[in-house]
Amino acid sequence: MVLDERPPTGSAAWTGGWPGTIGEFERLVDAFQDPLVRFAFRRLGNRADAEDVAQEIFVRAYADRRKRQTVANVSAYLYRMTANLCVDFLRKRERRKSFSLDEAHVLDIPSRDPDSARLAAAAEEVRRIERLLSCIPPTQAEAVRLCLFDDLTTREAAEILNCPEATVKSRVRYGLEKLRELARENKEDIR
Amino acid sequence: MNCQAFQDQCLEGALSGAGVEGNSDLAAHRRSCPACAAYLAEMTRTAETIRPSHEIHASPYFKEKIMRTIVEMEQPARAALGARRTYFWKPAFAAALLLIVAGAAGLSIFMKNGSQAYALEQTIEANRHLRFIHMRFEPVGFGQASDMRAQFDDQGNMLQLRIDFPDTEDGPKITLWQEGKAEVWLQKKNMAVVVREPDVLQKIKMSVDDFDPRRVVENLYKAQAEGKVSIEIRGAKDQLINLIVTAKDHPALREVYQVDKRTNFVIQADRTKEKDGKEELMGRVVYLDYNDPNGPETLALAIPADAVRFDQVTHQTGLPKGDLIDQEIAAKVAREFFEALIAGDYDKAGQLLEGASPDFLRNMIEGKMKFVRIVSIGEPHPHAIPETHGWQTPCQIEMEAGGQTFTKSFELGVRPVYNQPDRWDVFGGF
Repeated sequence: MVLDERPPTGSAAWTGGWPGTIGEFERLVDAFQDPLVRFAFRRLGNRADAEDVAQEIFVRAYADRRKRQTVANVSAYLYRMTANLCVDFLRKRERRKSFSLDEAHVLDIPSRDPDSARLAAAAEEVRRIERLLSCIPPTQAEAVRLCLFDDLTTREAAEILNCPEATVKSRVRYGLEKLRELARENKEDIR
Repeated sequence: MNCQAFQDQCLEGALSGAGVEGNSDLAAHRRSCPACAAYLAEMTRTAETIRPSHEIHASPYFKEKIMRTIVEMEQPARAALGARRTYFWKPAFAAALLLIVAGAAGLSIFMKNGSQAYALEQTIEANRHLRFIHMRFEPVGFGQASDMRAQFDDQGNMLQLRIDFPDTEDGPKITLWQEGKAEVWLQKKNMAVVVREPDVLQKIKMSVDDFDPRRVVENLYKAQAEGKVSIEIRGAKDQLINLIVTAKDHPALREVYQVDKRTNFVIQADRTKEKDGKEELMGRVVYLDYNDPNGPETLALAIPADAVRFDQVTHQTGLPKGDLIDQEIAAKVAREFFEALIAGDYDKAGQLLEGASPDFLRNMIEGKMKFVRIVSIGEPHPHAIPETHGWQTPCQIEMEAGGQTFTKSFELGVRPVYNQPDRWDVFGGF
């Protein structure tokens, strides 16, 4: 399932307006389920959390469909909602750090699901990359995430961030230059 | 083109890794300016360093979950409108259901060739006498192996299950399930948690089917007649027999069971995937000991006496909800919790704080702070983190600390006790 050839997704697969019927909505889910889960995963480092966030986005998108008919760029809007919800989620996760039995994760069981090892490795990669991105200003880090993690063009990233494309370009550029400098200072591969 | 313009415009090439060859001006400048060529190379390398390499997809049942939620949202509205026609999301639902079934069955599954059942029958017979198993999960490429020990009765029902997780975000963790309870030992935090877990086997059934050698092999045998996989036997004359199971629907995925011919027990199970003509190991379970007579003794947890304990089994935790509505019990628990702290009744306060040991509270509070009186207990509201299924009760408490008297505001989390929905307690610290 991981290696399947899949049809285009995300903005490449969605040119219409906000879906109004369940049938249209199902097509929206088809188009955006992988991009939004991937987008959230690369911010949260956990597929279950990422799917919770993406599910919330889709459910809200449906519940608010009448209010959203005027949204011009559905893709940018969904990404923006997901980014905001990821930020909320991370804040809540931070707040949860005071002790609770939830920490005990009583039902944790190792999984033989072939996906689990890959997801664990992907999660570790997210943590490594986030450690690096924490060294640059948040606005630059977010522009880098959008352009590098999510394979969006700088124009698409600008629509999501609601700023001029030139701003996105400069943020990405300065972000990468800062990371390059850090690598030099550390005199080692930042991997 | 000058260097400044080049560095302004080469970004897309660096991000995509495609370079600047598609733009003749940029390409010409790169060839003529070693400094800009080096700049582009470094920016490309930096981008590659932080570009995630793992592809992530939604799980197979993700869409089905969303669509079911949507349909459920839709139905009350239709009912309210008196609509007779009910929307039924048939094709996608059916497809998703199939995926769920396939996912639940995993690959450990079906074989077809009856003539090759010899090893399985012998293994099934050997497994009938299984009372204790010690195994190790070995992830590939990431993380550390988890150790697992389980004890069974003569009917094959699991009596005890212990898993040692060497590396979690809370440090090493050991969990032991037995007799309707789960004990969790968080070594790094020196913390032990005991909770009621009456139907744990039901909750972890899918996982047990995946690792319990008796169930794994019986599932293979039972599915034999369904002809959904092919099985190849190698090394039948040797001490070790390899059963290579390939599912028809997923020919790139295989499971290889290594059977010890002397005992007929499976001693290793590998899950592999064929990629670019090569077998890639996805995960391994090593069965270390079968029926070790001393094995059951190794199940017990050795929790240090000074560990902080949260025990919801030995002692009654929380307050009974009775006929109170959620907001009322949330306010009552909060009030009684602070009353207990004011009275120095750490037994009761601990009982109300997820079963915390009285010593834990005493050490945390005595000599450091004093709870003087309740100023107010406000109206509880749903917890800011909906997944907790709890409420937050605003409380104002007069306190003394460092020679000062002051009023402190708390948003005390209150919710049903884990697996005891009729009792409510404080959670999440205070």
